Amino acid sequence: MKAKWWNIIRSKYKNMTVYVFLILFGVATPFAMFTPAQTEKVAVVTTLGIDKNEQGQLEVSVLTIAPSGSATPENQTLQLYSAVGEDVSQCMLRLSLAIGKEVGIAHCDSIVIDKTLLEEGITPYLDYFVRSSNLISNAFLICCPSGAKELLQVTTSEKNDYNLSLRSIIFHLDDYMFTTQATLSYYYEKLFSQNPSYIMPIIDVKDSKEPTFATGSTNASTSEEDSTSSSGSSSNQQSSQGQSSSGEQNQKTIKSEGKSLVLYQGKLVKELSQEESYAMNILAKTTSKGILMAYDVTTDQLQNAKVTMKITNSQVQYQAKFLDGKPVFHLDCHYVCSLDSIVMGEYELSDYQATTSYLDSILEDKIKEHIFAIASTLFNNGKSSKIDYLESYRYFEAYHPQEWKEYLKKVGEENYLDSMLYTIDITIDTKI
Amino acid sequence: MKEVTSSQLGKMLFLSIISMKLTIIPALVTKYCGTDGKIGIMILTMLDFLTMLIYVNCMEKYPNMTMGEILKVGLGKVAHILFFTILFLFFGIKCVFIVKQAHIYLVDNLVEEMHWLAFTIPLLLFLFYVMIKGRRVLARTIEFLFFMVLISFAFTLLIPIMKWKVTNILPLMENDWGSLLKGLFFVNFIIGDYFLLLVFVGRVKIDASLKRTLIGYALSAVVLVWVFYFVFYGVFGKIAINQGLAISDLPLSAVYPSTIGRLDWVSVICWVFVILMIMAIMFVLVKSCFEEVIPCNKYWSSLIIVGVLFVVMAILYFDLEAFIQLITSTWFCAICLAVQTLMPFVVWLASVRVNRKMMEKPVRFQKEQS
Repeated sequence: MKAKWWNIIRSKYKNMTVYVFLILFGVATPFAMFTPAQTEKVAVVTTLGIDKNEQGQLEVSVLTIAPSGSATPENQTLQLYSAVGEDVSQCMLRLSLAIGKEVGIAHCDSIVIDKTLLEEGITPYLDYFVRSSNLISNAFLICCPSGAKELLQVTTSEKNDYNLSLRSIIFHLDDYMFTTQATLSYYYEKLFSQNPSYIMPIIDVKDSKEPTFATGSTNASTSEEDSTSSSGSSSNQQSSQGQSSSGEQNQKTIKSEGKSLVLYQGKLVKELSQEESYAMNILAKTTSKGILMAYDVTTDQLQNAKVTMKITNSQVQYQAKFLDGKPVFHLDCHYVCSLDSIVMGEYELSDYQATTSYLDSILEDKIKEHIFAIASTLFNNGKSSKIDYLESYRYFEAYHPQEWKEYLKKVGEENYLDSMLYTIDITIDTKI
Repeated sequence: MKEVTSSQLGKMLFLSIISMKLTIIPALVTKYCGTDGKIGIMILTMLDFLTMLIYVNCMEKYPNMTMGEILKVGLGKVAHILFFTILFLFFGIKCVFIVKQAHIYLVDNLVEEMHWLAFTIPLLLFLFYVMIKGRRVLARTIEFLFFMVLISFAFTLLIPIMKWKVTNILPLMENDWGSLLKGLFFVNFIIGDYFLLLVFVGRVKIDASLKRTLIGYALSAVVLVWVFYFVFYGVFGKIAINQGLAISDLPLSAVYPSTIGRLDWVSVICWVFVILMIMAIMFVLVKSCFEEVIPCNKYWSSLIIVGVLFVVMAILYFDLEAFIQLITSTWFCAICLAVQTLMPFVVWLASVRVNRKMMEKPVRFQKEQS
């Protein structure tokens, strides 16, 4: 029996596999055992903010998360740190020194930028993130007029109370705006394109008493703790769990009104007006929800009514073509709607049926009239400010490359919108 | 000895075809060919595919002779040594490249930092083990893990599909043919995938479906590579030049990762296995060529290869840029192009001369063979 076991062991030792795996374990085990956990070495950044402070210095703020097994979104500890420096790279180094960990931006899903930086041009500030292989290119770029750090601070407390994060707001707005396109990679895609205009969403901070057209208020409060300076860096720390401990409390909350900014070659050009934003909502391919409006509708059943139809689904197709050497950008819009509200002087009992599938030819024409009006405003404003809101050049470049090149030679690359014609074909169906 | 079946060889060929083209190369192709890189990759892969027919014919014609024997009989011993030395160097450089891209892939996706020894030592041990085990064990392992390749492909292509835009890939040709061909000259190193078949001439079980099977696997791989490039350019467009690691950048570029869960992890884990298998294939090929040039014990040949690679990696490890500069330098590309063009011709010539010898002196030839 003994001899048999010995033979088995001897035969095993002859097998090269055993030696290879022994060496593999011998090499891998010390690395695994003596290397500290990555969470001890790396501060996981979820949101990053870039500001220019009152002294004109660049300030980078990061919202870090402390991952733990028992943490849920409600009890996870979020901390805000910030550091000043000459450029983003120096700020990140100083942040790392202040936190005592490497700043890991692999999970950073949003970069908030102060509006003053947009006026200067943001490309120099984003260069660091392009070269960092760690940051994923789908991080959202958001503008905060009140300052990026301010928004991050409010996000900390908002997350604690309502589990709101900037990303979730952006995802919600996606149905109504261009926002899922507002990523870092898309910024560069546009920057190096024929029309380097880029639309960036605005998410701001407001006092909870401040009225906005967006509803919702919160008791969330934030507290500023004393900033500490270390080797030229200021570190500002805010714990979401310690918010009620300080004396003075600022009632602040996130303000999201679906507004956007337009950047041209990385610099702020203008803020989209409410009308332009609405037109983008209706005419963009990426949005699927919104409302259609018709004013002064008079039919058998309606008297000077303002009718609002809710878009439950929309399909917008773009088509580029040339007619007599002129570029024509055609929009084919198909909306599926349901009647959302009727505002008029007097109501009858029949209106109380609350039908949602009402649509007659007069109402349809009124809605189309309104869409034509806002579309015309958007296109005219685009022509005057040389902003190609619907990226028409992409379609001409893709489907009529030769004609497009000739056209650009004729009118000049920067003036291609001047002679562009827009046509719209609208179909409206009611939801049954 | 017939070491592999036609199906196993087909699967290895499949991996060999995709091995170089999906990680660092897409950005490199974009650097030289712009967004016309998708057409460029179609041209390169089709040209490469044509050479396959010569190798498969040779394989079918001489089922009992290895490539080494064909060369010795057809062109002499010097040509044989020269042929396998060139092949050894070709596969060797590919090995260094693939190991480096495997490291970048792991650092990009799985770990923040990785000491080079922690990566190199276990990897070289694994590769040493695979080389000792030889072609047969490798072929069977790949047959077993082949489904992972398909899963990896499926997830890599499906996750970012929402970002795909037809306007990013049109027009198909943005620049002229001259600049495209010039660009292709600088990336011709990425083809030559069918050289793998040369190592398996005389070592594969010949059956009626050999040609059909190999062409089937090769064409599937080529089509998948095309689809990959069309998705890649459709998602990134002109900024494809910045996507240093295409197979991980594609799923990570999706803006809905939190809503679709961490499906990209399936892709990441599968790709780790796929990359390991690709490295194993390359190392076995290097070892086979080495043994043709310097006949020696499998332990010694494997040890020498692992040792040389360790030294090369210690020198080149931290500098991928330098390595890419080397493989895209004009002289290197010219040599590569010459090798890629001459190899099929040499194989064809050797095959013809062996055939002539067989016709002239069939009895003597058979004695020589025996």
